[in-house]
Amino acid sequence: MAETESIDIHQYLTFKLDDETFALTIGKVREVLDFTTVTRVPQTPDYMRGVINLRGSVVPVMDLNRKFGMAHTDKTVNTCIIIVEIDMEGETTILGALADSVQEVLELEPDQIEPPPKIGTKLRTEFIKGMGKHNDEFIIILDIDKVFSAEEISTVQNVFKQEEVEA
Amino acid sequence: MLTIEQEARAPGSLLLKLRGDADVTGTTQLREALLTGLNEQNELLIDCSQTTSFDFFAIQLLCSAHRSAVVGGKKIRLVAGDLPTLKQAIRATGFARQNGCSLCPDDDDCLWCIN
Amino acid sequence: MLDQQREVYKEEARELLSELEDSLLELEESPEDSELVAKVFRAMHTIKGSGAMFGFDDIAAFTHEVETVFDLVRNGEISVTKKLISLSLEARDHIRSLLEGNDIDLTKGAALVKSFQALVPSKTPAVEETPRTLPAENLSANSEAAATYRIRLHLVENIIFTGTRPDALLRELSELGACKVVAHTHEVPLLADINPENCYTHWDIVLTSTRGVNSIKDVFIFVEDDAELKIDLIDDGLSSDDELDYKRIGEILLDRGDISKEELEAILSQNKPIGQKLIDAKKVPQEKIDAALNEQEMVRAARQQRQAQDSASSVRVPAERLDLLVNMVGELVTVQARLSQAAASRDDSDLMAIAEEVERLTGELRDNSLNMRMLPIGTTFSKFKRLVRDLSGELGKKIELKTVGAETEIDKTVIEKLNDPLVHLIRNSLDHGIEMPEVRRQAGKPETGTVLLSAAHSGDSVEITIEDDGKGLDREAILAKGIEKGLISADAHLSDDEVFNLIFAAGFSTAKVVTGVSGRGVGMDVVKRAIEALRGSIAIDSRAGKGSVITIRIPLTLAIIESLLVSIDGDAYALPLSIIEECVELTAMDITNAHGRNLINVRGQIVPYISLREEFGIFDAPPTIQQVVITHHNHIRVGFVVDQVIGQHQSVIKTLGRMCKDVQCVSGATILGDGNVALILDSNQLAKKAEQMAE
Repeated sequence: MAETESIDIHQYLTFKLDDETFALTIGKVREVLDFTTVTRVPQTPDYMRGVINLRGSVVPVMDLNRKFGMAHTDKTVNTCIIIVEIDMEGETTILGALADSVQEVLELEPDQIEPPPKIGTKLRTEFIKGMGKHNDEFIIILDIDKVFSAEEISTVQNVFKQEEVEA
Repeated sequence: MLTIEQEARAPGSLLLKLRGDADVTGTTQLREALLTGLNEQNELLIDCSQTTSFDFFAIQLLCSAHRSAVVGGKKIRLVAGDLPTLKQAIRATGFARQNGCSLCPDDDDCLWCIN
Repeated sequence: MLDQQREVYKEEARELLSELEDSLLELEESPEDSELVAKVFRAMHTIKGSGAMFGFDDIAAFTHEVETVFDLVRNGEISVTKKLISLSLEARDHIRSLLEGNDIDLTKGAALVKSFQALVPSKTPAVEETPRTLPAENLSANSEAAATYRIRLHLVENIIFTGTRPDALLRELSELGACKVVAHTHEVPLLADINPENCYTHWDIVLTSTRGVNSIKDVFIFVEDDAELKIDLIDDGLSSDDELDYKRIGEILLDRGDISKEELEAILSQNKPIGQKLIDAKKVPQEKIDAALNEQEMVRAARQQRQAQDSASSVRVPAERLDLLVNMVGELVTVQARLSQAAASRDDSDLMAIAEEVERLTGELRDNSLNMRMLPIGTTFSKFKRLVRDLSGELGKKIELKTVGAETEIDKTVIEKLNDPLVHLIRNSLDHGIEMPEVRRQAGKPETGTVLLSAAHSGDSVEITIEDDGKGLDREAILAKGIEKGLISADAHLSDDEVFNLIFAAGFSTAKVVTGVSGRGVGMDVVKRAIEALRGSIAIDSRAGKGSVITIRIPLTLAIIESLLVSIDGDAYALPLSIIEECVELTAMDITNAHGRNLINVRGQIVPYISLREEFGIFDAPPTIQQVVITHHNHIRVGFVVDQVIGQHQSVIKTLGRMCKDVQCVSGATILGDGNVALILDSNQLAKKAEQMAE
C-alpha cells in the first residue's frame, strides 16, 4: 500500500479486527507491513505486543484487539502491521498496530459519516471519530491519537503495576 | 687537606675532630668516618674548632649525616665553641634553620639551629 | 559575507572570553604570575582589535578602557587584588552581553570604566606606551629602586664536573644585595647511599637588589646548561600594595597550621616581603615557607602544562556533522554484524575473510568516531569555579571548590546535559550544605568550606561525585517531610540510604526558606530525571555535621555498548558486559539446596539472584540447567538467571520510544545480526529487585 502525501481527509484505510471493520484516515498511515517477528517487552500491558525492527529503528507494536477488549485472534497469513504516525504530547511518534487483515482504501464523504454512538459499542467513545457507512456496512473510524494517547498508556501501565504488586 | 681524629667519650659517644679544610676533596674520608661513627655509636660529636674552611659539599655531607642520625635514632651535635666559620658556611649555603629543620622541628638542639 | 565574518569573530570572541575568565580566576590564586597577566592583556587586546575590525565598536571602546588598566598591571604599577579581579570578571560579563546583544546596560559599562579608573594610582598613568616585556628588565634599565626577587636554582647532580662550585654561585649572588638562601635538602640521601661529590640540593633564594635581573642572570652565565634557573619578581619596590600575593602564601601556611591567624595578621601589617617578615619574626621555619611556595609553584606548573596541551592543533567541526557521523557509524556497525552472520552461515572462506576485515575496520571506526565526541570534563569544572566564587560571595560564606579528575573524558552531549544538574547540585551544597563561617568555627571546622568535585572512569561508566564538608542531611526532617508528603507510610522502616534518597522523589522539598540562590528544593527530582535520561543513576549519602556526598554514574557513551547476549524463552536479551563477572550453572539441585530463597553459592560466597523468567512473567517450565550471570553493582554481587548465554555482542543502542518509557527493567533495544530486536536490560533496576528479594 502506498502512503500518500496529500492531506486527503476523505480517504481511509480499512482493516479488520476479529470480524469488525475499522478505518484510519490515510494521512496517519505510513505503511503496511507483513507480520514479522515481534520481540515482546516484559512488564508492558498485554495490548502492547512488543517491538519490531523497521529499517534500523525500533518501533513498538500494539495489539488493537486486546486494547479494545476483543477476542484474541491467532496470527494468520493475513495479519499485518499498520505503521502509523501519532501525535503524542506535541511530538510525532511512529508505532505499529496489529490488524487481522487489511482491506482497501476507501473514499468517504462527510455525509457518509455519522457521529459516534453513545452506547452500543464495546469501545470507549473517545476512541471513535465517527461511524462510516459503506455498502450497508458500518465502519468504525478510529481516532488513533486518542487510542494511544500518553494518559492512556501510563494509566494502564500504572494499573498493571499495581496488580503486580498485589499479586 | 682534612684530617679526622677520633676520640671516645662516654660509652656510646664518639668525638670526631676535624682539622684543616673541610671541602669536597675530603668528603670521601669524612663520609666514611661519619658512617662508621653512626653505625657503631649512639651519639656523634663533631668538633670543628680547628677546621679552617667549609664548602658546600661538606655541609651537604653533614646534612646527610644528620638525616641518617635522625632516621637511625642517633644523635649528632656540634661541640667546642662558637664556630663562626662553620655558621657562616651554613648560612651562606642556605642550610640554616630557625627552630629546627624538617626532620626535627621541635628540637632546639638541632644541628641547623645556629642562632 | 560580512555577516559570516562577524559570526566567526563572535565565535572566537566567545572562546577568548571563556579563556579570559579562566585566566582571571587563576590570576586571583597566583597574583604574582606575570605570564597570566600577559595572557589576560593579550586576550583583551585581541578582542579589542578584532572587534574594531568587524564593526563591534562598542566592544572595542569598552575593552580599550579595561585593557589600559591591565597594561598598568603588566608594568607593575597596579597590583593584582581581589577587587581588580572582581571588576575584571564583571567587565568580561559586560563584554559578553555586548557581544550577544542582549540586555545591554550602557550605564553599567560606564560605571565599570569609572571603577577601573579609580584603581589607577594618581602618580604615573603610563597609559599609551607600547607593550613591554618583563617589568624587572625595565627597572634595571631605568631605575635604581631595590627590587626583591625569588630565585629558584636547581643544578645537575654532577655539577662538580663542570668545575662550578655551588658556594661560589651563592656567594656571587649575595654580592648583589641582601640575600637569604634556603636549601631544599629532601633529596639528600642517607650516608650509606650518598655520593659526596654529587649535588642533591636545590635552592630558593630571596634577593633584594638594585642591580636588576640581568645582573642576576649573569651570575649563572656559565652554568646555563647545567642548571634550571627561575627568577620571579616578588616586590618591585614601587608599589606598596603587594598584600595579595603575600596573603596567598600566608594563607597556605595558615591552612597548614604553620602559623596562627594573629601572627599572620601582625606580620602583614609590616611592609616587607613576607618571606623576610616571617623569617625575621622567627615565626615559621624557612623550610615551611618554602614548602608553601613550592606548593603554589607545583599547582601553577601543572596548570600551565594542561593549557599547553589544550592549545595543541585542533580543527573546529560543527557538532551536527559529528552527530551525523556517529549515527552513520552506528548503522554501519549493525549492518556489519549482519554481514558477519551471513558470511558465517554461507561457509564461503573468501567471504568470511572479507567479513572479518570489515569487522576489524568497523571496530576501529567506531572507537575513533566515538572518541571524537569525548571531551575532558574539566571545561565544565572550571565554569563552576566562577559560580562558586560568585555564589559564596553572595551568601556571605567562605567556600572553596576543589576539582579532581578534570581530564576525565566524557561524551560531548552528556557533558552538555550534565551541566544544569551539576549546577543545581553545587548550588544546593553551597546554599543548604555549607554553613556560615561562624557556625563552622563553633563546630570546630575550618571557616572555609570545601566542595570537592571529582570525576573518574569506572568500567564503562563515569562516576562524578560532589562532596561537601557541610552540615549534612537532616534525617529526621527528611523522614518527617516524606511522611507528610505521603511518600512513605508513617511506620515504614527505612535505612538511612533510603531516607536520604527520598529527596529525589517528586514533590519533595525541605527548604524552610526559599532562597533566591537555588530556588525551592524541588529541583532534586528534576536533577534525578535528567540523570536518568542519560541512563545514569544518582544517589546521596550523608553524615550529620560532617557533610554529604552525591554520586552520579553515567554510561560513557550513549551510542554503543559491549554486551552479553542471553536467551530467555527463545528471546534474546542484552546485558552490559562491563558489569558481568562470570556465569555459573544453576541446577535443580542448587535450587533445592537454597530452601526457597533465591541464593546461590559461588565458591563460598552467597550471591542473591533474580530469575528473569519469573520477572518477565514467563511461567512455562525453565530448562533443567539454567545459567546465572553474576554481575556487580556498587560493590554488591547479584545474579540474573537466564536460559542460556549466547555470546558477546556490540550493541548499537536504539531507544524504545515513549511508549515504553515506564518499563522498568529494560533500558533500550538493539538490532541483532539476523534483524531481530533484542532488548537491553537495565541491570541497575534488576539488581535492586534482586537485593530486595533476598531480604
